[in-house]
Amino acid sequence: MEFADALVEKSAYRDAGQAGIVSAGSLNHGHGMQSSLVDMRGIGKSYSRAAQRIDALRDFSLSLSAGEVLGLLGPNGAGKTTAVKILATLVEPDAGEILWRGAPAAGKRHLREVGVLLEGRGAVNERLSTRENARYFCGLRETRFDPKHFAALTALLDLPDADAPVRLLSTGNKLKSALLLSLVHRPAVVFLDEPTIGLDVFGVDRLESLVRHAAEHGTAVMISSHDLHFIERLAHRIVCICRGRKVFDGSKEEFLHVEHAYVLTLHMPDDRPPGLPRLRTGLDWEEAAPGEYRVRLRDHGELCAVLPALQPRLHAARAMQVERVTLKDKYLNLVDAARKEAA
Amino acid sequence: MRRVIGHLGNELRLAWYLRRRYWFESVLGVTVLVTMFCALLYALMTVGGKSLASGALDTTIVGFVLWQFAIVSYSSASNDIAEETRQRTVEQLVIVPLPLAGLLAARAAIHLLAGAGVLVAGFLLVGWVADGRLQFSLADVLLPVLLASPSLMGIGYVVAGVLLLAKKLEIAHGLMYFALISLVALPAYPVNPFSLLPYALGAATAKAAAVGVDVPATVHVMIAANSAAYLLAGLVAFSWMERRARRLGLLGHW
Repeated sequence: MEFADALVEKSAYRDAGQAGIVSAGSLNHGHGMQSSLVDMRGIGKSYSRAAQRIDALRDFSLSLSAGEVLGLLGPNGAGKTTAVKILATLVEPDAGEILWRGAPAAGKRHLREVGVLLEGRGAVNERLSTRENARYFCGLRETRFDPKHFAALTALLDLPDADAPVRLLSTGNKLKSALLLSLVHRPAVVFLDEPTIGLDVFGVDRLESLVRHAAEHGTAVMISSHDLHFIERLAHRIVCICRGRKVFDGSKEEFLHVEHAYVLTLHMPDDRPPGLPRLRTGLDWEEAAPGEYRVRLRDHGELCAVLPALQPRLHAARAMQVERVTLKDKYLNLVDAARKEAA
Repeated sequence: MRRVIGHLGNELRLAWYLRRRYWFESVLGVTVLVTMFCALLYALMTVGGKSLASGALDTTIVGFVLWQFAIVSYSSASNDIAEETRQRTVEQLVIVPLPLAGLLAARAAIHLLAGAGVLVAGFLLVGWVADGRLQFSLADVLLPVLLASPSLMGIGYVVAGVLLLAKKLEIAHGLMYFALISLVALPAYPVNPFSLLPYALGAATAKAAAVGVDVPATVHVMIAANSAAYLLAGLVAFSWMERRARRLGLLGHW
């Protein structure tokens, strides 16, 4: 089969029915990344812990294309790290298959094109300096060490003293060193598992630059993180996973798309009847908690239209709050729905 | 072949980086070893009343050097896994194109080369200390030792595999050093059931050669066969345990 044909088949596969998925994203994300590098198909993995079977992943499928930044979201124990470990060949799946550039990933040859950072810590030899580690890791991955590329990455990450033993660096700089090592051999795909743990705000900014730089140069980046803002800023595509099952796979725009963009909340005194302002047709108050009433508003225009109706009754309220619906809200709703479904 | 040479070069570079940065520890290690050996020799000469010139200490000298070489042979793979696990870097050795067993073999080759160098240097040092009065041929002693060393590499692979599965079992790894003393001390020459154990026949043959026994070529063939069998069994066991660790999700997991 020709490589292009294989890609078409894989794209069709990825968009094919994934039971329980809210939305399946398309491959076209509008920034020119089309070729699928790695595909996980129907992956299943369970562990035995204290005589209990734990399904870490169930019928999990995922594809990753060149230049794409994919955010993998999920609560603790959802199966994110297991997915990354399976992709990195550290864990063998019980079911399913992994394709690398359209062909089953047999052997380990493809690993020269893979970069990994696991569980927010790098597997860096702390007795060596970052530069020595980089040379060694390039050798391990059968790639020539490029001093210019190394210098560029060091500058991007603002990593001080690349020639000092890593053990002498601060926690954040150790992580920067590990991040550098995951990219120093110019991998086609890099898996970053919790890359922001231990980084200060400046470090996170640098990491963002690094990820953007890598994606611009065609590297597919998969980031698994609990830092939703970080994912929101960087990811082109979001995959949400809960209890080993994929519950969302689509573009960031799809993920962020909500029927209601704002939530307006009125806090009324408990000892008085609400006396809530009347709203126009189609809008209703809902009681979120005792004394707390909210209305969901479609957009900024609807918000502007509602505010004058509220004004005469505002003096009776304790407080009013207008919140924009964020990735966090959507994410929490998804996880909540998945948990209820599982229960 | 180019890949193998590339990885050997890479591991040599790693060894060089570590030796260069931690040169004092390296020098200290060699100093302790030489001091320990000299103390042992001195004790045997003064308390035991033996002299180097008589050749009565040759077996002891050979035995000590054999034990040191046995440690190097055994510990190459097992020590590497224990150390990399301790440093939490073992996962990076797995996420590479070369199989882990191959990578450990490249490191073992370097360790053995260095070990052989120390072995020859040890004998030359003893020869110098004894004013050239050692009674044996270096080549006759070296050949069975070098032939026998892969058997201990095989044992090292087995222990390395066990450490992948049960990382807290480092104590068992330490106990193996005492087992090595027994293997070196066993009377496995002329060929007897002890000869089936790893390294035992090689060590016993080397000690026999040190006291002037003319060892037939068939014994060397047996040592090589024994070595190959243990090495192969070790590699098979290691591969099985690595697969098992991968299945259980224990790789890159402390």
